[in-house]
Amino acid sequence: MKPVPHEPPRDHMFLNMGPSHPAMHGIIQIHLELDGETIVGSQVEIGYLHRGFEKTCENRTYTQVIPYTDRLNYVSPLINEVGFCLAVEKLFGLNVTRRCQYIRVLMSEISRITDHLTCIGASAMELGAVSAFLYLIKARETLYDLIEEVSGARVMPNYIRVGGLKSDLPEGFEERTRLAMGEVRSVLDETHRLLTRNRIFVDRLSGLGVISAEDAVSHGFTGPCLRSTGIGYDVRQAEPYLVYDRLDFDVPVGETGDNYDRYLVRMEEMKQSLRIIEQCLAQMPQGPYQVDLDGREMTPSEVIEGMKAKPPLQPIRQARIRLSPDLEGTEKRSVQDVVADDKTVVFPPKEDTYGNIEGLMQHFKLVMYGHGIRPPRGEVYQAVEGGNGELGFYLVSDGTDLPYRLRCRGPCFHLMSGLSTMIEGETVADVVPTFGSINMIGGELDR
Amino acid sequence: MPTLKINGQEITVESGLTVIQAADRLGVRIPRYCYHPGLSIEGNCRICTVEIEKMPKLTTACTTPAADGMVVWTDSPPVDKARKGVLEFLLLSHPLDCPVCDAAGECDLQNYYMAYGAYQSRFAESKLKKRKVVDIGPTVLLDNERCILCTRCVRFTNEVSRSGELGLLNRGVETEIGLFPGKKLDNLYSGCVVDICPVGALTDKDFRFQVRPWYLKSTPSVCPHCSRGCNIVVDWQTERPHHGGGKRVFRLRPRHNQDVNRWWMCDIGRYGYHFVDSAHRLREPLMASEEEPEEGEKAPMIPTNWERALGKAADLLAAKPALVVSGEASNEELWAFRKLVGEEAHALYYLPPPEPPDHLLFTGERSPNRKGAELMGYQIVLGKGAETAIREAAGEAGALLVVGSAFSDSLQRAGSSIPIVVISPLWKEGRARVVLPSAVWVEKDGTFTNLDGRVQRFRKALQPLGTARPGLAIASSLAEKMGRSPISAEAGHAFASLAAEVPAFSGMTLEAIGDGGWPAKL
Repeated sequence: MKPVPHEPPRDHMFLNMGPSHPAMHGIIQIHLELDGETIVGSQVEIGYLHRGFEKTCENRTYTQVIPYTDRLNYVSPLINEVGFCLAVEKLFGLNVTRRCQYIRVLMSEISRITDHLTCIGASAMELGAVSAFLYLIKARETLYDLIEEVSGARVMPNYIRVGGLKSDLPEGFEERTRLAMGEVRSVLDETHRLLTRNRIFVDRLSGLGVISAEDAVSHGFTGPCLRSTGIGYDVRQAEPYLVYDRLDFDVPVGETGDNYDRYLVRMEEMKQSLRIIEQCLAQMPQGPYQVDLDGREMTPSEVIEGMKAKPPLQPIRQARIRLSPDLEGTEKRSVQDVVADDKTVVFPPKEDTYGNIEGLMQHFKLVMYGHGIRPPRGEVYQAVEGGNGELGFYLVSDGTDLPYRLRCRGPCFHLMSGLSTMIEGETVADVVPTFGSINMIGGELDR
Repeated sequence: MPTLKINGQEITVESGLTVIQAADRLGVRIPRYCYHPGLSIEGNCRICTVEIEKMPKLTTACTTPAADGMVVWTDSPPVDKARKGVLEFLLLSHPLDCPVCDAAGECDLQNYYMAYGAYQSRFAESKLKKRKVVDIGPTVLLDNERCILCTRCVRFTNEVSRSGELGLLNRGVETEIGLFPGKKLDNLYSGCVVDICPVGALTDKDFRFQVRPWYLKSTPSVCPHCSRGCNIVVDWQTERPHHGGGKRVFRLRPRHNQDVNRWWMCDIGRYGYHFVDSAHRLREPLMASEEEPEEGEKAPMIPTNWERALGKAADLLAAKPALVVSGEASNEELWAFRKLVGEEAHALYYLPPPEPPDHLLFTGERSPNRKGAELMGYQIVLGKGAETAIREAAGEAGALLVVGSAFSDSLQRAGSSIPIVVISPLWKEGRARVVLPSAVWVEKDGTFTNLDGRVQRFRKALQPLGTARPGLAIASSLAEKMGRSPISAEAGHAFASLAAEVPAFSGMTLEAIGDGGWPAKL
């Protein structure tokens, strides 16, 4: 960040952009020093959305922290939850089930797409392309519907748990995901037709907001902004977590590090995310249950009897059992597949909580203050690839039910440190697309 | 003196101790339900089974005497398996009561299930129904379904309270805890059975449904209700004023001190905390109206601010005051007020008429610090004799400083016409020119001297109610206003000055007294 000179030349003008500005989505202030319309210096003032996330978490149990992580990057909340839960699981040395890992990857990639859709949509709108914005947000809405179906909430899902998930996927989820994927794909194609070679759009992006690979690294850039400069660093491939090492996807990189490259990188990443989601759906273990045509679980003897019957009643092998609508995927036979086998960490299935004293006591021990989930003493760092780059959680446990310290590395913070470099020498009007392509999210930046 | 090895650690203990006691010395925690260090050993719950090498089977740690050369393993795989089995049996007919059970959060069934059980329930039958919410006495309710029949309460009533109301009734799976015919659990120590109940079978009527225990914070303290000075824990919370109707203190529990109260406390102390949040607590200073009252009428008391009230009190006390203290004044306060009125002034310590003591803890002397007052050179006045003493003291003095609320009647009857300044946490009505609200014992730091001369420390749990101030702070402000030598408002400093002056306290500091107390000097 270049400091504003103490005694600037007299013909320089100072302009405050923000903290409340129609083209600044998020509350942030940029002090611009202008020579005519050219920016000769700037200072970025952050902190308007500071909520004391890290300090708050020191006074919350591990389970209570999860909804707070939703409020970091609130456009891709599930990635934040995954990152935090992975950090706690690392403290425990706990492995979650394979199905749970696939679901987490799947939900992370859905979140990544909603993140990029929002970023590109908002940038396009600020440059006047309101119809592209509406198409992209409509596509995001279909993904929000999927998230709502799984977790019960559109934006603040609170779905991932330490040691597993809140519940299994609902019935028919796979089919509806495929439909949604088709819709997103067609919207992406349409966006390409509307924007990628649109003269106005390209002129406002291309060659502007340039940052060199060297500068980007020294500012701590990660994510699409770093990749647009030609460095192909992606946590999902550099430090694979969950099942990313079993999935085939490309990490797109740009060449010039300008706004247009960041746009193209994001567009391509969404396509790669769609690829990942489809692979997840194909590879995800479906459970070891024998179920009949109604989706009811069959005992081994029923299966044998069914085979003997004439004509033989063929059980649907390896299918999911039918879920109870009341328990929303938290019943024993299904939730067992998505939570780790450790009663001191994961919540019991709802039938146990309400149905036997052992489950009830386990539930109580996990929710009561001063009891709760207690990771062993130690410290870990766990990073995931968030919508904007490396989202890291550094967690210190003193063996109690509250985190001793939780440090969150939000990618936006480092990206915003490069904004002054990127806009220097450009005009005031160029701040808008450059700022937009950084995709600053206040919740994650200011924490 | 057998030497044995527990989990690889070697320890030598005096003969006669059992394995669980030796393990406790080592800090190795063996789970227990029926074993309690203050009661006889029964060995019926079987959760404390351990593996002892060269013994054919697992054995209970609480009943096996420690022997020379024993090698004990407290968490080997066979022990884990046995504990799981014991828990599974104990929980067979246990009701799903955690959501409505007072003990949830302090329940050893919950704790041990998570620590040692963690098995998957296999229970498919229907649970046995027993009597719930049985009123067994004025303070305690019994829930037979939750009971695991450890018989701690039965042994307590037989051995400690020696009242013998409880016993085991019926046989087999229908065995339950019950009262003997014609008896009620009504003795001075009935509340202790709730403390020692390892589950939620016995619950305290006073504490029932007031607040969930996991919201409570605990502060070590000393009971102020008799001269024994039982060590206690004050359980309080202020963050959730919607619980318990805005109470701040929710219960008192005994704190183990082998030299004073061991594991017990009496019901007088246990349920005697309600005055802390009582409606009679004075929240701001009062001053008598300056206007002349009608003949035979008392001057009305008007709320005022501290500055004016302290100024007025200092003016009144300038004229050769006498001092009467009662109630829960700490050693530091006794010393500070003595300093304030001057060594030559009359200093009386009022004691309510004694009640008969009992066999265990209650001394009958309803004041926590009579011994302290004696050591500080106060003249002890008792019951009705106090009237004469106060009248005599007041007769020679120009003003009377009254600290504490225990004797307003005697004060009325003494009927002196000299101005009276009262420092008290409670105030109903009475003849006084200035009344200064003071903090109660859970709202201040300090020490009491119990009847044996043991100095024990209590700690501040709560902020004083309203604008009330600790007695020491009031003494400090008055000393400043009256131009006396300064008195520290901080308990640690005041205690240091006191220890330097009063020989009985020499060498003590507040830190060194700690939570265990400083034994009496011989």
